[in-house]
Amino acid sequence: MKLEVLQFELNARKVSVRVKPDATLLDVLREDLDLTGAKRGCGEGECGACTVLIDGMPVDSCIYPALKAAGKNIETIEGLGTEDNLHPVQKAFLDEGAVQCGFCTPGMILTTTALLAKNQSPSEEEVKVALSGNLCRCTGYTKIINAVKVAARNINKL
Amino acid sequence: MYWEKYLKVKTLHEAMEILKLYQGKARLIAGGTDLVLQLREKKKRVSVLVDISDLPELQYIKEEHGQIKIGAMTTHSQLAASPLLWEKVIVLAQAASSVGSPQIRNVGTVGGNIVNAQPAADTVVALMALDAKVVVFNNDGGEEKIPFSELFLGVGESKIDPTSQLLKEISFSLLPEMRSSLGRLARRKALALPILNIGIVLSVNKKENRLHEARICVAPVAPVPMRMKEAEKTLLSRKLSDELLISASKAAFDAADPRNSKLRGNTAYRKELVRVMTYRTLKTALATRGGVGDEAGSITV
Amino acid sequence: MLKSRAGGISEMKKRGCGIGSMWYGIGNTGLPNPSGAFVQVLDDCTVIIHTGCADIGQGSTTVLAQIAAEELGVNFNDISVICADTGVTPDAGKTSASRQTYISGNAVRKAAQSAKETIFKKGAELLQVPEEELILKNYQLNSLKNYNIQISLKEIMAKCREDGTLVIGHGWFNPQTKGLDKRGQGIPYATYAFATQWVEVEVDTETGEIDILNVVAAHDVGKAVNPMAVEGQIEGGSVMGAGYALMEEIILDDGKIINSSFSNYLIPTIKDVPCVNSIIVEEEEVTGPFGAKGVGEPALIPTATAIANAISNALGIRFYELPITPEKILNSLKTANNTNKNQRDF
Repeated sequence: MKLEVLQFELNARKVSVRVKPDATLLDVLREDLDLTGAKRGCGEGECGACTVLIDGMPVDSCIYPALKAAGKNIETIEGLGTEDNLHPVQKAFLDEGAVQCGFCTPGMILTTTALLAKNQSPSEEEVKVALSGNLCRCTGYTKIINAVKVAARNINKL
Repeated sequence: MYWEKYLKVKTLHEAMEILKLYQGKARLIAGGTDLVLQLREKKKRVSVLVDISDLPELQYIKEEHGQIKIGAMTTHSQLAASPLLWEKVIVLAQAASSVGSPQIRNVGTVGGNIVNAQPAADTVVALMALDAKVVVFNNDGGEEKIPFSELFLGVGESKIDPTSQLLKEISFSLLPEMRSSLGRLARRKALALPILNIGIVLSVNKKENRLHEARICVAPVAPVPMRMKEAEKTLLSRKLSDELLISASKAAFDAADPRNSKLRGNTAYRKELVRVMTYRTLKTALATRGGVGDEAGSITV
Repeated sequence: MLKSRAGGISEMKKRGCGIGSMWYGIGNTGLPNPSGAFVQVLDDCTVIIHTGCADIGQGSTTVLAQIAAEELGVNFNDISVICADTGVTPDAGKTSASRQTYISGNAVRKAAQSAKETIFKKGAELLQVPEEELILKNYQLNSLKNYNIQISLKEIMAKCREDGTLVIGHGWFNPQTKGLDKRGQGIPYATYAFATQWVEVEVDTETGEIDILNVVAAHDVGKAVNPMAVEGQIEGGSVMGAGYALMEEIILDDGKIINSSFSNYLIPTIKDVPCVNSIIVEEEEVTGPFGAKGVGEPALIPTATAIANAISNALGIRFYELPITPEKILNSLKTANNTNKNQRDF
């Protein structure tokens, strides 16, 4: 089977990778690029654990054909911050106890950063709408909502 | 393999040429939020996918001569963010906002939604009530305009053949004193397929306190989205009143014939919801601004 | 009957409140389920814990580190935890049965106490006071009788190295239970968690839809070693309870599960539940580490009851089958001879 060349911008770097023509973006991120932050929660675009940002917008990568991403700007959780230099959203999630098993967390954080890039002070309802495509079974969402509010405050202070 | 080739095209013409070349073995893909899953679950089969989602000439929302025209590759997010739609055609803005989840809306397109032909798809129900028309390109170079009501042949069966035809544009007319609303019921508040979707579009004759036009689309109560013709006739028959809305809702109830479903509920329950939601959505539509010549805003009965 | 506030359109909504209470045994039922742990204090006064306990996100690694830090008088950040490595960690049983804080917590505390004994022995020797007189806090060993008699932990560790003493302790704990006899009688658990949850709902009597407006959950956890983690458990468990009450069910058709995917086995999304208000009650469990017991499963248990009671309060009808779906609500409203119904007469 012939592999196709896929070129795109990944976490602000230009990337070129050879992929199977019917691979999804999630397959390529996890298997070919070793970026395992995006998770396969359901494989059918129903849980958001695979969320990455494409041109700044949250997308379910498990149903996104890899070759569709050609020429686009992809951001994964790995590009967001480092252990020594956390992104304000990452820090807020940790400080507010919004992380338990962590499976939904990369998706939640990326969707949050996309929200805060467009809306610096979202209302609780706006937060809920933005995160309505990200399921969590551990936290019951309360601390996640707190974390988003705290992150918004902290980012506005910067 | 779920597909053998994935081609992103730069022009409409290129897309049509590839379809012609592959003679049925290639098909168009838009956002793919339905199609990719169907191919991976082997519910559909194809050799070649032709991605037209990035063609800028297919992404627009504009008002022209009393009509709204929408490019087929406009995403649900783009529709949901359109001030024009919220101001003038709220039922479509509401429908686009209700699809799946933000992640799905960022990628899924209204054209793809239509060709996927699920009877209760949010934008489908809204566009049915809007009496929309679509422009379709054929790979013999021809172009045709098809009324929305002719597009749906069965559950998941579209009149448009994505191996040889390209849905280019959706359009509908704005009505004088237009009022509209989407009534939606689902088992939870997000990421949920609708148990019931009702799209209502009205044109109000304010002077005489009656309706010029009434359109009610209800789904899923049949394999295709259904216009409630009896209910619409009732609404046009006399002056607006609460009793009129109740009559129309009863007519919709009588016309609806959904089957017993383990996932959606039994027939009696689903019919009752049609009655309740038709009434409520009519009331909400009348109370909502939006349309050509709208000045005074809401209408209460 | 409350009118909906939205859009001035009356929507026949009714509100109600309900309470659910529960008690729940901590640990495996009537069977031994011990945990073991090793605790080692190093020359630089940092600590390594070895525990078989697997943290699945509830925060056991953090809690065990806190327990060791408290016992040894060192900073939480000086604790390393090596956990759930079958190559090197002692068995700590499953992360299940709401048991890890109680059982592994005790194991770690005992292991830390065992390591502390070595420190006390050395300290008593060096300070010339009886071991019972000593207290270890803030990297310092002090005499309780005379606070000026003191020595730093660092010095003690240095002295231990000099004579080749390792400061390492092991501990294990198994709850005191008695296996159940033929009649199911015995002592199934050494301790129980208790909780009460209160829920307010709003029911749309024409569509059967249920909105959860408020949840307050009060849980007796003995001692909240990490209050934020305890809240996290309460919040997560009660939302799972809401799903259990209102939307989760396995649907069979001819023996086959027809809703085995996320699209049709529905769990609550962020839009389906309010923020949960948790209240931590601390009634010390004397057999628990610093008084702590469990909260993992307890958080889930009373919610469905509270919701069913709240719906009953709103409608005057009892439901005995979960999930309480809009369809069941409408069916029950129709068959009930409820003079308060006041439904629109179609």
